[in-house]
Amino acid sequence: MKKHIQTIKKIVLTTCCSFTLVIMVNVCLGSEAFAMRIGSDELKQTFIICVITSAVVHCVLRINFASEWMYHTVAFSSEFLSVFGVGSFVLKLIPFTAEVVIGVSIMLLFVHLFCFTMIYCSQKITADEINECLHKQGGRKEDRHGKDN
Amino acid sequence: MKLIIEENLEQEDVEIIIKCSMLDERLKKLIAQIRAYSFSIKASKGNETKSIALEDIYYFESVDEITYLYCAHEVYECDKKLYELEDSLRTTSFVRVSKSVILNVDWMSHVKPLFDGKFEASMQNGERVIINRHYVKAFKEKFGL
Repeated sequence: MKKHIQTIKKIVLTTCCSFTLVIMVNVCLGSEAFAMRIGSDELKQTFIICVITSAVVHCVLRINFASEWMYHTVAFSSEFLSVFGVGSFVLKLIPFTAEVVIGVSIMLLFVHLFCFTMIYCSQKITADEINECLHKQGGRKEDRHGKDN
Repeated sequence: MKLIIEENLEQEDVEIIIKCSMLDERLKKLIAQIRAYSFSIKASKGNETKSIALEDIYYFESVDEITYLYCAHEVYECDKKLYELEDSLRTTSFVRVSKSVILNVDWMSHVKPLFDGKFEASMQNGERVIINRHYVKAFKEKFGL
């Protein structure tokens, strides 16, 4: 049960981040061809796309990938497929034209990089805390290691 | 803290009794170290079989259903399964960091994050071990985080 709640928490968090970023990027690019006019229907549909994309990415990233490149390639591909699969073919919100595909892909890349940079930063904080703990215990361990050698 | 050491030639095994009002974090760590000290694992290398003290082990790795035990410079084969070791080493400085590795955090020199949600632990002998993101929570708990 606890595990499921944590999964939902992660999906909600990713949805909130990505939805905010999509709207912000869309507002900034307001006059561009691939930016959509935001009404209440578009907002709801964008939110649905964000929820589905977050859930899909969360499921896909449960797989243990051999390299960091593979991890990001699969993550980005699943984001791309979910956004266009749901956005273009189910909700008919995003027109599937070359111009829009390129524009939305750039937006998607921006959101992807932002979200994963946030995850990396949070992990860096954890790593620093662990390194501090290790540093405190360092002397004792180095002594033991010296004896072994 | 009062420390009483009694030497007695008739005593066959070392006996440690801890008397306290309540177990705190420091005491739990001390108990974990005592447990690690009193625990050794039978391992083999070729025809030679020896008992390895837990504190000398850097990590355990399971490859093709065989469990290997890594010390500073030697690798031994161990007859126990990884899940058995995980169970018996729960209260020590060992922690499961991936599907195939149990790591001794006492021999870790530092840790760094990777771009795919994993961590990479550098050991004091220069070896590197990947900490899978599914095991990060338990790993952090070992450091009280």
